[in-house]
Amino acid sequence: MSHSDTDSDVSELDQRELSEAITSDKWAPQLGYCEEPETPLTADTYPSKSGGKPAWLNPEHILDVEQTTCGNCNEPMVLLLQLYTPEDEPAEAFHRAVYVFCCKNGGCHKQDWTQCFKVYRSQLPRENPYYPPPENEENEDDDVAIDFTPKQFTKPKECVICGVAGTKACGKCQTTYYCSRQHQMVDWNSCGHKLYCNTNDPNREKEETKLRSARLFSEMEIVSEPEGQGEDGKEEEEQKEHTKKESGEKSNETALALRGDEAYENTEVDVDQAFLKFQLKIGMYPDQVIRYERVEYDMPDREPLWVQQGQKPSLVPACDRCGGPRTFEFQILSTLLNYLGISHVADDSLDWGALYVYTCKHNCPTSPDVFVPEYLWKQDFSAEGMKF
Amino acid sequence: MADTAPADRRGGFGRGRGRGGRGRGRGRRGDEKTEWVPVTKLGRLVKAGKIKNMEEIYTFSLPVKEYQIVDYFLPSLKDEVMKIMPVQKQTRAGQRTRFKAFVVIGDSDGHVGLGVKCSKEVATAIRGAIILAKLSVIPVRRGYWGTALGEPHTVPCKVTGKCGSAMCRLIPAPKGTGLVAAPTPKKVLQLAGITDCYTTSRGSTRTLGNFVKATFAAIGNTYGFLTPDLWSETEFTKAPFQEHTDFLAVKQRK
Repeated sequence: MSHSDTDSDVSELDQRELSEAITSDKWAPQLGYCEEPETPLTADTYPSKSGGKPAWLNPEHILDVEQTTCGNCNEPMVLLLQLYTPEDEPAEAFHRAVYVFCCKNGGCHKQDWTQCFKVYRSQLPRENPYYPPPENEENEDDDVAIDFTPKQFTKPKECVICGVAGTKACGKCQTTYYCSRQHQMVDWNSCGHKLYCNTNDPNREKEETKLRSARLFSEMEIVSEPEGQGEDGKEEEEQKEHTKKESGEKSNETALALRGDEAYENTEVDVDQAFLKFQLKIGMYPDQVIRYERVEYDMPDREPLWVQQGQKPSLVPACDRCGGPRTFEFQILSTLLNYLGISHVADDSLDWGALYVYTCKHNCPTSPDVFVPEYLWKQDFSAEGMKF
Repeated sequence: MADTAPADRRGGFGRGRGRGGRGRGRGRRGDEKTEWVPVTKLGRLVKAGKIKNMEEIYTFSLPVKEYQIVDYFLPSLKDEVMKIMPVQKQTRAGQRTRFKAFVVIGDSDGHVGLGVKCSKEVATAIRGAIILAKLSVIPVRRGYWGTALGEPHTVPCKVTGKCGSAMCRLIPAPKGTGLVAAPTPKKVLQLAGITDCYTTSRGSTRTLGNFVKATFAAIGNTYGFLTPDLWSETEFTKAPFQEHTDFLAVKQRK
């Protein structure tokens, strides 16, 4: 036979072998899980979160609504998630955050999803005018008072609905800010501003916050854990007891000879192999929502965990700042949709297989801008079931 | 830097040492271990209870990619390992033997599935075959031999299925006949919920893989057969989430 004995055949993949492979993989990805926030997710805690309003890393310069408008329906988008991804090098990326915005209207995604996602990268060096440099553990006994005064600046107004720059104000009270006319209308009609504008109702804040946050995705914190560290994987051992009593005849038959046309057939039923492999891989930790692959420097560029064979990005554009390559950083799984607080019944409800985010490999400096657009690719699940 | 084992990384994304977000809490996951987190949209709808039974999925031919969906609707599925067959492949270093497992799954009340999986170990093959069998569950149409009295007990008409050279034909039988069949198709028919049936087979029925697939195909054809009681026009209803909204129609105008 000309083929060498390949063990990477999907039909070989076994839970046990897989978990062994993961624990010995020194570049195992970091998995993200959604959890209820323990403390409020404000910018100075450098949060990684899904939904809610963006917690701006750079508090002085925030995104404009033009940068977060859906290309299909021209409605402002909402924050899907943001990850705080600090780097050790280059120095400008000491603090680093990636924001992913998404159009809430599922119909837009059906039409042309490339217009419905925007990714921005923002970074700050260690010495920056907004946050004190973090203490080094070694210098704790030095007892040096940190000589840091945050920069004084006028905090930019944020839209009360979505959190981007609020350049327009309510005509009546002039104290509520919006990013766009659409959000002003939404707040007036659906979020109770019509009732509460210019009033001092004690329930006002609670009601308004509740209604306004319903316009966004549910806010959850994204916590992380390296793959292979959790305890869920051990669950698969119990499967073995179940199958032990099922394993009928043993292979003691002398009929090792192949019979007729059954020779060399592997899996007889035609199922999307890439999907099966994907299911197996996430089956160990089924509630993961993020797979973050950039875990070490000097690691080879890894392929993401695809959810289907086709619909892969043909060419990831190079970074428009430095011209360097964009590499795969992390992927957002469809399990996140369970945590966003949206309805799934309608045909045009938000849905995807996985979202792959590609960012500049070298984390080039963002100045003079604060936000740098990055690239996102979406894969759906293939529409194949079992074929006979 | 590259020799830091994964155990040292405790939490947070990005490559900054010792910074980044919260690590995952430990020891609170006892009750979440067996919970199914759906990946596909159909899975989410099923988990939310928006789909009432498997029949809705069959009506609209929605592809089922997660076996937990089948588990949810048909918790009482019984599986039967038909055969474990060693297959070999010639390599430079001798022969590589793998085991092929044939598993038939059914609830003896109108649903059967067939799964075939090949793997280096028997247990893995069986496990994989059970999952594939669950994904392939199809409905079985049962009918009467004579008077429509009591519950349907046999196939509604003569159906046949063929795979390779093995052909299996199912013929309606009166109540009380039992399953007149070879052991292999008998097992499949039992799991399907057919109580009475005459069978005829042809071809090399010793090739168990093909024979089982032929029976399975025959059972699958029961719903593919147009009988006079199905002559009336079907009222097409909208699928759970496949209906097209007006949004797309409106957008075309732009």
